Amino acid sequence: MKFVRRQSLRWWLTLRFVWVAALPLTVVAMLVWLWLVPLIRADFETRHQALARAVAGQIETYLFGVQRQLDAVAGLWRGLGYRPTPYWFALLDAHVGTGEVFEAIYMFNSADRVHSVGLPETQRGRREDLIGLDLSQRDFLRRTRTLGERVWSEVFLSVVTGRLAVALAVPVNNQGVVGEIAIEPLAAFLNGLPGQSDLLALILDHRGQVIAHSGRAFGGQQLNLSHLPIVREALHGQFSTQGFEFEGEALLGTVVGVPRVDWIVLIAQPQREIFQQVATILSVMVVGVGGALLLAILAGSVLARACSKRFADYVEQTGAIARGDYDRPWPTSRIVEFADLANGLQRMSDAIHQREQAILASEARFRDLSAMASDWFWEQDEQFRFTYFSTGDATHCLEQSGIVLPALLGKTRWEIPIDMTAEQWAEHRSMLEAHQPFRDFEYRRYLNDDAEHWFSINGQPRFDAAGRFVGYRGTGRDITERKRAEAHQRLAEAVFEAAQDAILVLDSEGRIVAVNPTFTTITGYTEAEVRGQTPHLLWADSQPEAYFATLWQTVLHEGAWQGEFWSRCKDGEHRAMLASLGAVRDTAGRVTHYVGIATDITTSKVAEKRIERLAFFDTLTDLPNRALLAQRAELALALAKRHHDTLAVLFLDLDRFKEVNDSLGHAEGDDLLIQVAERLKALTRTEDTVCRLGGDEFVLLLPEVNQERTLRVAGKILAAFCQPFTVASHSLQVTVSIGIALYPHDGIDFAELMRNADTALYRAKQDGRNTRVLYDQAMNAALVERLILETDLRGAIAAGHLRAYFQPKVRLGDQALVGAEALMRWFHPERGLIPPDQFIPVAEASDLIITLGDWMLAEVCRQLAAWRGEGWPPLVVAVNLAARHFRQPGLVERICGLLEAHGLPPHVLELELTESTLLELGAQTEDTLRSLKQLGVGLAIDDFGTGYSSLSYLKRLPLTALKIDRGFVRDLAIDPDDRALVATIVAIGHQMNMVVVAEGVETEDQRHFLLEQGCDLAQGYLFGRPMPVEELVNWLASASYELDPGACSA
Amino acid sequence: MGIERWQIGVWTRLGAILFGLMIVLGGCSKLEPIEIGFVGGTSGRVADLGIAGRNGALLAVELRNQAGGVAGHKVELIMRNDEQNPEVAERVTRELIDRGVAAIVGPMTSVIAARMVPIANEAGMLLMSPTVATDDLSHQDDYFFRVSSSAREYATKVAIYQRHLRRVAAAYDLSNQSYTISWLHGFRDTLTKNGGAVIQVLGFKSAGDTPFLPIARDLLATQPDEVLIVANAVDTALLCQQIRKLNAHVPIVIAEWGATEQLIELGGKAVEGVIMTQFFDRNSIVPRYRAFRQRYRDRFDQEPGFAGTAGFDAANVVMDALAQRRSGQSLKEVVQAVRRFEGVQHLVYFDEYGDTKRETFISVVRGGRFVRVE
Repeated sequence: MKFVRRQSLRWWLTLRFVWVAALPLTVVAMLVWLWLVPLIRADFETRHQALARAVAGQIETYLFGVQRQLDAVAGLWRGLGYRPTPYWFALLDAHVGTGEVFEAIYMFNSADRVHSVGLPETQRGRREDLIGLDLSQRDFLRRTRTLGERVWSEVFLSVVTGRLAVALAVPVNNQGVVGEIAIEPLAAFLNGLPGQSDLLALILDHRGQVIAHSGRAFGGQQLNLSHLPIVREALHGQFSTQGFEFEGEALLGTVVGVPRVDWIVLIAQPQREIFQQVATILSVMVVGVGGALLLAILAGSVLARACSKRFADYVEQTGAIARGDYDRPWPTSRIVEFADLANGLQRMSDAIHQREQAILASEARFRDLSAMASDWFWEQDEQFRFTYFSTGDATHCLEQSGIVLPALLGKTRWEIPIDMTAEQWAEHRSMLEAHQPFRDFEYRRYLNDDAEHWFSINGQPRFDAAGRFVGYRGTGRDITERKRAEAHQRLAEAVFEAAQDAILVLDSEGRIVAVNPTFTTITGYTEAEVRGQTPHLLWADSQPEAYFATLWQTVLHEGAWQGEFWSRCKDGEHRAMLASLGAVRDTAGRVTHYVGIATDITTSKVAEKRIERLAFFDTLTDLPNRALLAQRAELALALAKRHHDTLAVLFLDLDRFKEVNDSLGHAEGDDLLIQVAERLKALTRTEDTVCRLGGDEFVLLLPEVNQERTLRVAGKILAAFCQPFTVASHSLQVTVSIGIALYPHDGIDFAELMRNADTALYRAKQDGRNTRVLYDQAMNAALVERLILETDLRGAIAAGHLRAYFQPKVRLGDQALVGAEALMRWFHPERGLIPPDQFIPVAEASDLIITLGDWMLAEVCRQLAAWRGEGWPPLVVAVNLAARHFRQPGLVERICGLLEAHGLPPHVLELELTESTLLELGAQTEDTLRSLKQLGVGLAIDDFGTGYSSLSYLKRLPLTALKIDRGFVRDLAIDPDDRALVATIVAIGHQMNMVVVAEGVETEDQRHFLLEQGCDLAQGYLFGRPMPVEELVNWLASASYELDPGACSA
Repeated sequence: MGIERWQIGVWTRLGAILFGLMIVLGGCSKLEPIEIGFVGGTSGRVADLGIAGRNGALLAVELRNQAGGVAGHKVELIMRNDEQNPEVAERVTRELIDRGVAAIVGPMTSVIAARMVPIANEAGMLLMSPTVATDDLSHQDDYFFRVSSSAREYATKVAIYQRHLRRVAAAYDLSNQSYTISWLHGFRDTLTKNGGAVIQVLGFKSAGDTPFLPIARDLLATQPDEVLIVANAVDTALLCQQIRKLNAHVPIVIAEWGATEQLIELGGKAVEGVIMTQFFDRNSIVPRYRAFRQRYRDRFDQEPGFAGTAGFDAANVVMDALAQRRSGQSLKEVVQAVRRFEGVQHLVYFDEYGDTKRETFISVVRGGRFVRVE
């Protein structure tokens, strides 16, 4: 029901009276405002315009008089020509007269200089001043001359009178005559204007400046009013009547022009005066309206009270009908209208009574029906709030599930916790809001027990007689059971469709009824092809038929079978299957169907085989790996033990395989290993085992062999490796070292044999590689010795047992000391001095060599800094570093840091590398060398000529010095070949811009020869042996060597 | 029966109408305007000075009102003409004081100031003069403030500029002696210090019947190196015209009082080359000045000149001070406390006596224009 604003009778009557009283008054007030005000305004405009025109006319006339007089003077001038001055003085003086109109009249020449002037009597003493005045800056003079017409000036400060004035200039043959008039008299035209006392009258010049004013206390001489819109428009020729604000007061003004001089006359009056009458009328009306309103309110109140009592009786009666009391008599009245009202209402209550009876009967029918229905009925209002639910069997069922429908009354469906997405709701609601009927709208609710409930509802919109939507009504039904059944069905179908296993369903006769897509994928048969066939179709012939029969027997007796079988696919391929077959029985226990499930296990069968191979064979070479070797060795050892046989384990390791990897790359390294494996396999018998342990290590297990036979095999292997390998189009000479251990002589179990073969291999490597060594007991002792040495060496660094010795390096030319080579000495607390050739190899075999190198670098830097502190000239000290050291990342930064820490210039440090070190360097370490060279650190190649020298290294690498190996120097005196070699080395060194240093110089002859060949520097016992720092000082003092003061680089 | 919905609606509407009426009426009752007086001679021989000063002050007030007035109050300029007559000046000053104006901008000339200052002191009324330069009012703790320098400073400046001169003949206006004498003394002191001398001093009365040719003759009779004129623009122009009739070359120095725009209009070629001190540069490119000059010309169709600029500055100082005044503080106290105010070309900085020292420089008339030379 639409909300109707309720009013009391009193209020209603009051409002009507007020309306009747106030409306005419308001209309009159508006008329006054809209009609009277413009009328008054127009009246004032007319009057002011008339005044202004009168004033303008007076000014015109006055100025015309001025103009006529000057025209007369000008005419005289033109007619008579210019005469001697006294004549003109008299003439002009006469025109000026007493100065009532003109303040001065003067004639000016073409240079705008005054040559005659007429003045009032009182001023004539100043005539002399004015003659010859330069008025060239007076704009109007110039204009009148050049234009040849009369020009009125603006208001200006007259030099003649010293007062504000206006002037008219009349041209006479490029000269002219000017009459100045004071502006004060102009005010006379404004004074005595008729009208109110507050009238403001102004004369403004063409710039908007006030020339004269009247009527008001006004400090506005020369005030510029051009900013007022009324003035601005008038100056542009638009004369109007406008309101404007002036000196804080709102005025209504009218302007007219004075065309002769482009002046304007402004007459204005305060608006408050003009509209005073209107204001009075309006205030009377306001009082009138107020009085009328009061009367209206009073009248409304009195009348309303009289009527409302009568209405109260009717209200009481209608209340009784509403309560169902239809028999109560209606109040009677003598007033015809009230009596008619009572009769009408009586008829109405009778009709209502009858209809109510009919509705009750209909309602009863509906209730009975709805109580028995399996659906329940609901109704909603236009806001979709539930207003009704039927009661009956359907709702009782719901109550058992925990849904009490009456609890939902007043709620909308979306206020019930229904499991539905916002989109679904939005769709449903948009339909509801479009007032569409709907059928089978299904939704889900989770009730208190967390059980899922499904409901289906139908709805029909309801409209009232006027066609307005008033809500919905409809039925509801619990469809939970149906939904569950559907869900199960879908689930089963989904499992069937999506299963990764092949599923086939057979009827009770064992014929195929259905298969799933995976079945088709695996077997290649579609459902259509196999429907009606028996599963025997899939049975691979390679299996015994009896197996198939047994399978069925098992199913029939035990209800299920599980196992593997080979199936034959449509394309004839055989696939391994892990399958199960089970019988499906109905409630009576009769078999209705059989269901078979099969998993394709062909892939895993193949994988099993591959895994087996991976576990026991090396993937690269396909040789047995350590695990298989161990198995076979155990077997062979057991056999050997039983037959009192011997057995050999050969441990092989490729020499310098790492260089191949570094120089050619890992792929090529792998290629070499494959070739090695093939050669080894070719050299062995079938009962022998060739195994790759990993990397470049191989093991041969030779059963039933004695020592001689074993050595022969080893010899064959060494010989076979003499043939170069071809890897990536390179021909590679690869050698191998072999360690051999024999059963039972060198060990009785596999582990021991392996360990001892490894020891023998180590010895073979030490013996210069490319050889085979049989294990003997002493080897273990040597190994132990080596381990002890290594452990001691680690301790020695910390304990300070290492010392740096320095061997002097002298310049051959003048025997000046230029530097030294730092050499390491180890003073073992128990074993005394241990020579470097004993502990350096041990260190090289482990990371110790880097620790030693670092220690030496630090020691040398410290010493160099100490020498610097003592004022020694900068000696260059060389430090030997191993190849491994150069491969360390950050070597350059470490050296740089050391030098900076000790405040040393880089060139005092020289790093020595052996040829073999150079060979082991890769591309990255070459970069390291270049960085060191850039840094300024010297790089010397040590023992040059002993190794596998390549001149390309000398060319490519940034070397600064070359040291001739002591081997060549030693026999210089006796061996002409060495002499030639040394001479060549010196020449090559110099050619490459390298300093050449001879090592091991011990005799005067050697020194002499080297000097002859131009060798730069030398070191050796002839000059000084390696010595501790303290001795070096003594040596320097005792020997005839001097420090080279300029020695910074050799 | 409680209050029903429709009743609430009706009362709400009535309330809204009443509220609207209050807003409208409240809007009509504006804050009381602040009145500032102006006193200057806007008629007679010094009208150019007075009119320009008044226009400057009027423009300042109009611009201030456009920008929202002073603390929300509209400002009104109550303008009075002193007719360059001390009697009239006294009458209008008293009238303005009685009216309760906040301060008076003016007067424009020293002779008027001499009469107005005692009245203002008595009433505690702040006078902010644009142009009065007399030294008689310097260094006094009174209610008289000014935004331009003293006569002595102007005189000294031009005397130093002309220090090579030895013999100077001077004419000055007797009707504004307070200023002209200060000026002459300042000039003479500096000139004497530099070895020159004022060899002749002629006083004249500024009036319509004063003949200037005899004065010019007398001045030139002593054959001076230079003629000095300390007078208003009309008299200066007229005297220059007479001097040039007799001698085309003798240098003329004038006081800044006479250096209004009227000088050139009235003097024509006769004022070409006259030298004077100015405290403002007509061709300054200071943005504040350029904006002011443009607005002045738009409003009055004239150049502001020094008097217009000073009037503008003086009115702004008064309004700035009003804006910064705290309750219980007199306007004089505000000006003395603030001291620094923005002028259109320079900072206006008041010393403890309310005098300002402004940058001055030498100008000459060249080609019908004032040109700054130093």
